[in-house]
Amino acid sequence: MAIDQSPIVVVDHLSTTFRTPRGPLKAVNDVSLTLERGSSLGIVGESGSGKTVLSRSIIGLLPTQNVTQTGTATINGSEIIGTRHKDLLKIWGSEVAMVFQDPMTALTPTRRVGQQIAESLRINLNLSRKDANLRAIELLRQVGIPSPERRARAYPNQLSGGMRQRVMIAIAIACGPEFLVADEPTTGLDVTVQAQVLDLITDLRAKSNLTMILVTHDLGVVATRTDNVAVMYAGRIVEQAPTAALFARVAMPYTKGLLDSTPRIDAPSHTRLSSIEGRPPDLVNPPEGCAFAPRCTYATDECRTVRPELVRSTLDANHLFACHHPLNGHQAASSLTENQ
Amino acid sequence: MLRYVIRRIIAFIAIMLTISLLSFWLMRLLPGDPIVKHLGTSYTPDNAAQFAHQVGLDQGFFAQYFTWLGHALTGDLGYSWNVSPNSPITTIMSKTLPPTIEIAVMSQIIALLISIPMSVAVVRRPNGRFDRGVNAVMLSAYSIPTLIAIPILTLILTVRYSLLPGPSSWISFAQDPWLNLKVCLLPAIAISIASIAGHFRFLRNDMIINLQEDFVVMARSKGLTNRRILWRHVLRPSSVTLLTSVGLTIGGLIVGLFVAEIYLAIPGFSTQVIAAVDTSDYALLQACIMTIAFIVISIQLIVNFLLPIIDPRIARD
Ligand SMILES: Nc1ncnc2c1ncn2[C@@H]1O[C@H](COP(=O)(O)OP(=O)(O)OP(=O)(O)O)[C@@H](O)[C@H]1O
Ligand code: SF4
Ligand SMILES: [Mg+2]
Repeated sequence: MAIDQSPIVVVDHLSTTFRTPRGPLKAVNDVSLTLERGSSLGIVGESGSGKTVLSRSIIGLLPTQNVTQTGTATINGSEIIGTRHKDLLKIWGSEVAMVFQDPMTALTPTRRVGQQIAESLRINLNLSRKDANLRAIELLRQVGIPSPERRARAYPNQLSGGMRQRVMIAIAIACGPEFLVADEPTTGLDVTVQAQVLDLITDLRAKSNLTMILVTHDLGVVATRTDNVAVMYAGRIVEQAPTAALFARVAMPYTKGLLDSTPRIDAPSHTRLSSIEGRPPDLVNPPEGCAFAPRCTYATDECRTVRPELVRSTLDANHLFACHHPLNGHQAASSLTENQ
Repeated sequence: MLRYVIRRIIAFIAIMLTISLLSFWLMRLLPGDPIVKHLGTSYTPDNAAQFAHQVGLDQGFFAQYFTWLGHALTGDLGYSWNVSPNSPITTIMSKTLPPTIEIAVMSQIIALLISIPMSVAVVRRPNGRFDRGVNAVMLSAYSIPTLIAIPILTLILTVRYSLLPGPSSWISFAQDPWLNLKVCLLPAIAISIASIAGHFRFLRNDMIINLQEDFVVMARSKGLTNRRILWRHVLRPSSVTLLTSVGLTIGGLIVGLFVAEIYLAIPGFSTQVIAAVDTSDYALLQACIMTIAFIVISIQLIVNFLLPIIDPRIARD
């Protein structure tokens, strides 16, 4: 049997704009990216840089009111952007799934966790109630929940944080999706539980060749759990590279700032990446040139007037950056948009 | 759990005792002399003294109260003085309470059957045209007093279309169940109007708030239809305020029942209370007040008990 070599996710010039009382807010701005089957992409960036909106845009899971989108995003060749809710229902749960940051607020408080897994099985796989319940217990066992028969009858608030996160993962993998979006899946958990949950995800991905977007604040997590990294700032991808290459030779001053502000191993976990001087720009009135210029020590007049395009580095064709004065010997090879 | 139950029971008893004492006292401040009312034209000082002695009115306030309390605690509410002299109050209650409870329950069933699907329907597009339309209707419905709703409904349902029996056509469930339900329907609809509007407002607002929650996005990401998400994931956590309000608005419901029974000449509990006030029938009036208190407090108790079952996040103190 031929293995499908085509990328599973292709995002092309995707923009997502919210209508707000202050005016249009471009939360995702002209993003293009590709995910190979079975790969994992880390998305990092400061709070408000658009990580959540981008990852939800790709799977079509945005609120429907007050949103306009341009560009395209396909999963397994099916277009997501502009597709009717009715048709998206067919891929949600069965082809794509999502793991949220806070399992306390992301699990329905008034439904038993077993029910929450079973209903997905019944709807997407047409299992009978009885089979779905049995399978739900099996899934709980698979994600490492002790005495799953009993836990299936618990309400979310009766479980510990780590346990709830495992339940959420069980729901996500229940119907055998090919693509998983994990939005800060371990933020808020304590360090040992964090590692356990990430190990579980790694394990499950290996078993079923699951493609993943992992949104996180934690560059340490990115370093060990992802193949590629995209760095976001003000709704754009400003640097993108294979994970090892990025950590070896950072091109963007902003990424360097993120790395420098990453808490050390001994610091309290999930410290927010907030120690870059200054604040992110207002997305309703973004600055003209490089959005990072007001906070960048390398900024020149060119930075303040001409927006840098995302380009390939001469050092590594897989390393992309959007900066007029890249670090570590990187140089612009060609503009991506001109190539396409 | 046991401590919770014990605390609730103690509070229940304390409230009932307080109400009984207060009402016992306030009742005696009402204008109207029960002895005069009782004896009517056969009033003589001798007869008066004899009746006063018979019902204990010749004793001091606390002596009267504790005598009453002692009997009440054993389930003996005594006899009516003036409304239907010498009938046991428990017998009177068992006749007058059922129509009232029937109408009240019916009105709440109607209110829930309309307000729940309405809320679910409008929150699909909050602030959309349908939502705003329904909101406007509900707001005006909320301001229609039962006093006006009943004649209007009578005009439409009885006079114009002859669908339901009108005033003074009371018939008990035992005599004719079907007709009885039809008689109850008109007052039940009239009373339910305010409840529908109230329930709708709470449920709609809570559902809109809950629709912003992550668990809704999570449910969508599982591939559930909007319909299923609303009914299975959003409705229950949004029912907390509604349920609390059922407990809190019971006062308004009782007022509505009074109006409906008087207007439609239904021989129910409200008619009973008015007759008791009218004739200064202290014994019957006291029993009526205690019955209302018992029902109101019990409903609060049941609501408090149900809340953590509806939403497991709510702790039983
Ligand atoms: N429904 C919405 N309506 C209007 N603006 C929104 C909406 N959702 C997100 N935004 C805006 O879009 C921008 C990007 O938000 P997003 O949640 O994607 O950031 P993030 O990178 O995930 O941040 P965090 O690390 O805090 O989760 C923010 O400025 C946010 O205020
Ligand atoms: S383009 Fe200029 S301002 Fe922007 S990150 Fe690069 S050096 Fe800094
Ligand atoms: Mg986010």
